[in-house]
Amino acid sequence: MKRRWPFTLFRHGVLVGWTAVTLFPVYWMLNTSFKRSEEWVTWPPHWVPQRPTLENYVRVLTPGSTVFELGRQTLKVLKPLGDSLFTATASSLIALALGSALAYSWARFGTGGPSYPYSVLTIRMLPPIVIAVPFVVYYATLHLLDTYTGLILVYVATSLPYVIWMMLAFIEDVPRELESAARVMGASRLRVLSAVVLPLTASGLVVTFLFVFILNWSELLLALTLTNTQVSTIPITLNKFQSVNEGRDYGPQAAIGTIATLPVVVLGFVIQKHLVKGFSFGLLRK
Amino acid sequence: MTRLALLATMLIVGAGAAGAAEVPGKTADERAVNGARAYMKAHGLTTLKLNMLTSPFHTKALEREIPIFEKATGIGLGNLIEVGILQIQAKAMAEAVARSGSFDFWVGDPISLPDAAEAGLARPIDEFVAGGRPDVDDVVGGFAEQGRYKGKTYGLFADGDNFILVLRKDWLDKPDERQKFRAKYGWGPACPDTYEQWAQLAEFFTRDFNNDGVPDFYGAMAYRSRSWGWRWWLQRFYAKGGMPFDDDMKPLIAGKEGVEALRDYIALTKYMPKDILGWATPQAYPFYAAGNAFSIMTYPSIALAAEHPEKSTVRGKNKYCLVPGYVVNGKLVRRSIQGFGNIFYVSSYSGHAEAAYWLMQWLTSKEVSARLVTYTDSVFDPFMKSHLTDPRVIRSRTKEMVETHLRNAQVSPPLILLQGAVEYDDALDEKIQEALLGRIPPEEALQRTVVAWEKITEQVGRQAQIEAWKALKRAYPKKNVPD
Amino acid sequence: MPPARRSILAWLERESVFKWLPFVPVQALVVFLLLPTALLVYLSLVSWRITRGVWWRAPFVGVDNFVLAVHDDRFVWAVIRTFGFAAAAVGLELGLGFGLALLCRERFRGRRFYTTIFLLPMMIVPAVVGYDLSMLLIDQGPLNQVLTVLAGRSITVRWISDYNMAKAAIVGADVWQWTSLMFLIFLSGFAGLPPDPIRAARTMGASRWQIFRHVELPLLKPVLAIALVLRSMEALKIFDYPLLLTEGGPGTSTETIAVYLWRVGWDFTRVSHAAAMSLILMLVVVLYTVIAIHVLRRERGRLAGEVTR
Repeated sequence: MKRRWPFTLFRHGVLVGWTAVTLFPVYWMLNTSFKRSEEWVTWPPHWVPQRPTLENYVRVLTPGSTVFELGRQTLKVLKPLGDSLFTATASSLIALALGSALAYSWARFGTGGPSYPYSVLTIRMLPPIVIAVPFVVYYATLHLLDTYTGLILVYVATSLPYVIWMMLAFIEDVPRELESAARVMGASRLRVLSAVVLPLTASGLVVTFLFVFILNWSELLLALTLTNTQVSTIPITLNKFQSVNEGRDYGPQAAIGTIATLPVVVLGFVIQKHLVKGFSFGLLRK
Repeated sequence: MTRLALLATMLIVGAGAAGAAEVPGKTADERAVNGARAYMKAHGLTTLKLNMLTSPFHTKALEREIPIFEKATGIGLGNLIEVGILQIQAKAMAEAVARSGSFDFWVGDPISLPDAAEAGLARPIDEFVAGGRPDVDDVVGGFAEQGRYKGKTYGLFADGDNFILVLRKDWLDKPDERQKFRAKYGWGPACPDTYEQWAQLAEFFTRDFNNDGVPDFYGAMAYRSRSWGWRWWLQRFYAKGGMPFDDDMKPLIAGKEGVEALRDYIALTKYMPKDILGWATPQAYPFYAAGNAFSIMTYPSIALAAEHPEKSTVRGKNKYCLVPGYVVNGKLVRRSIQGFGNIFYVSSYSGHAEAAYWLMQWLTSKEVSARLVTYTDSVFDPFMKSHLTDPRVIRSRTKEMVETHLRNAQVSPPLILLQGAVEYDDALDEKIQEALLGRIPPEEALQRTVVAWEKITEQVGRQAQIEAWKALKRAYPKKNVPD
Repeated sequence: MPPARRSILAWLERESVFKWLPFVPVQALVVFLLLPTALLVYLSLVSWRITRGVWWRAPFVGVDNFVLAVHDDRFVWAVIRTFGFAAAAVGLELGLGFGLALLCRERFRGRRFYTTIFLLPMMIVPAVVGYDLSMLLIDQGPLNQVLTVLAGRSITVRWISDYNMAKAAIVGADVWQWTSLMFLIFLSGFAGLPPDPIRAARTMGASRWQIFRHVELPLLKPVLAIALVLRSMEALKIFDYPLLLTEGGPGTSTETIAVYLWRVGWDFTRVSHAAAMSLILMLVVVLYTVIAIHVLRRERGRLAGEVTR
């Protein structure tokens, strides 16, 4: 045990170091969100707000579109928050259902052929920018521009590869014997699914949902191309601050950033214990 | 022809020309209201909501004014699509492809008009202009031309964004500073006539109070960042007597004038804060308003920041100057530049183009535009002669500023307003940045830009560009200095 | 049960129906996505800009756009640059993620705390990360302040406005955010290692290091493979950080291929050129990923073989 000392020190040193790196931007975002405008850019920077305030949160959470002053703009976040929650949740759930069913079908029956999961992965390879312009024409013709359906359809398609890959691992973990036993005892296929497979893969479902939820929640490019006023997600709202050269209302931006992070963090926290198990992508089994 | 037939003909012709029929009203805004009311009546509507694409820079003012129009006519704002000001082009082009009618009208810059017109997105409004007679005559400096393309009118001008030079009067007036300056340079100090003089002012007034090697008071400020800086170079190039193209659309920017202008542009940067390479309005304005710089050459809305009653520490301490220039063939040529500018356009895919037009005419009338210009939380700048004497405008920006600003407008050429403008500008901007960062010499930067520009011209169609350029040249100022 | 419902359920029971049912909507969706790709190919073979009339009447020009694309310096540089970013970012993420997972694999006091914190970055919207970092990275910002304290002398790196530092900032943003995913994948990998080979090696007297190098690492190769494939696939698409943090600048130092294509298609209206470039890009990415997937399959197959052995 004596020889463990330097190692433990080393370990904690590295981990604390990385914790600091990880938390630094997060802390700064939180910090700024409670500062008044005089404190946003100071030298030396204020690590704790000297006169903390909730006004940034109030500004972004009240209904309306923008507040603009002297080149700085504040955007409102209620509608984008709702829209993001709806599209991300809907698309993730649908992708989860379809993808899991598909993974099960492939794992048990080999439908689609042995390369199917790999070919599905090619969907994910496509940089979205590549199809942005054709998609505008396409969706305009189908009247799907600026609709929830349109965006959800695209998100489902792009989430499927990950759902399939992640769920494959969990499904393959379910012993076939259990299923055959249930079938022998007269259970229908659907019943086997609900009574045997579902409970055993619950962990996987939860983790997969979180992962694709994060992806869809954060997606910017397709949302930017395919929506206007009816649908407005959080990344688009953030993009309205545009780039380095546009509105730098740091306080409200930080408030929006914090608000945008909360749902995901909460979700992640809730399903924490399942997380580690979920990310082996079926390559290693106990 | 029988009298009956004649009457019938007249009626038919009259009905056909109804759009061009003169709308009653003493002022442009009155006519707009009347025209709008007539439209609503003709279509049997009591309320109508129009959608608009704009940048957040304009939202507040419009949100205040449009309800007034709505009360008078029933035409109001439905959805406001907001995107960053530099993304309006992308959004407009997406709509040109989608043709979904998601917005009825929009505020765009003059740069995007050729593309918007060619893409079929911008709708010609000549027929409405004929009947409504907007206050185009009152617009200074030939700006109204910028709403026209290939002989047709597409937009109503709404914002005179020509640059102005601001100096710190309190420093200029310090007696010992004046003495020292005059002793060193032999003139002024006062508003500079030439860029060289401005550089001298910048050099003299850059101060390092605590001797740590980093200036605390910067002699000059202008924009040097990506997507913005090139406009300041173009301003100098114009002042050198340069023109971007010759009559065959061959670029002339890599000549002596261009290279010298670029050298001076780069040289002045040493008196500016180091981070200026990443700044635009949201960073530059507060920096100046906090008293950190002696001079700034930028958009006229700087006056709103510099004279802000609460947020400015330099209120009342600013001197608004005519833009400097270069001496060309023995004569001083001052050039401002219409660094951005905003124009109201109507979408071809709108279901209520005429209604949108009346709203636009109302917003660009003498009376309403004066109100828009006054709001400190948007960036509409004075652009009409009537603004000069409007007490509200004067109060928000100081009399000196408005006078100087409108004089600057007399010598303000447009940016390059041709098809593919965004691409020409981007090519120029990218190379200028490389030169600014010291990665390539100025000559090479401009030569490479010439190569890129030639490619763009070929891709758009040289003949078409030649004709468009010929028409554009008419919008250039003829005077060397303002009256 | 009503007869209709019974017969639907009976129909579902049939194996042929049951196994193909999920495929129907998925394949429909895939076809749905395929159509715009066909349009993309069409657009790349004609000469169309948004300012030139309607796309269905554009003149056919064959491979002209492709030739132009290959000769477009800015495009080629953007591709090279993007691969460079991806290589740097993914390399760092793999290394850091692996190292951190290694340190966290056995139980120790505070392990739960660390793992929770380390997962945070990947849950933040990349656009938020972009803005957040722009706050931190300004000249007189907290990052420079911290660096100054750590280094003992004044450090004012111009992260966003310096040509090379901007690249570091973009790579840094990606590494900060996605190391957590790599960490999670490796943690999962370590947790899933089969105990038998390890136990066997230990009884044979192998040292800790030998076990690691000759037993565990080979078993982990598939995990490494998938982490590499997944992450690099995503990294090549970088759009959010360069657009929001630096707008592709200064100059074009952080202009990734996604940013450049966005510009060409929308700002410059040169849709056909963008289409041709997109197809070339797709080819490059597909080639890269096919190789990667081949490696993946080999690893997966090898592992299956080894485990059964």
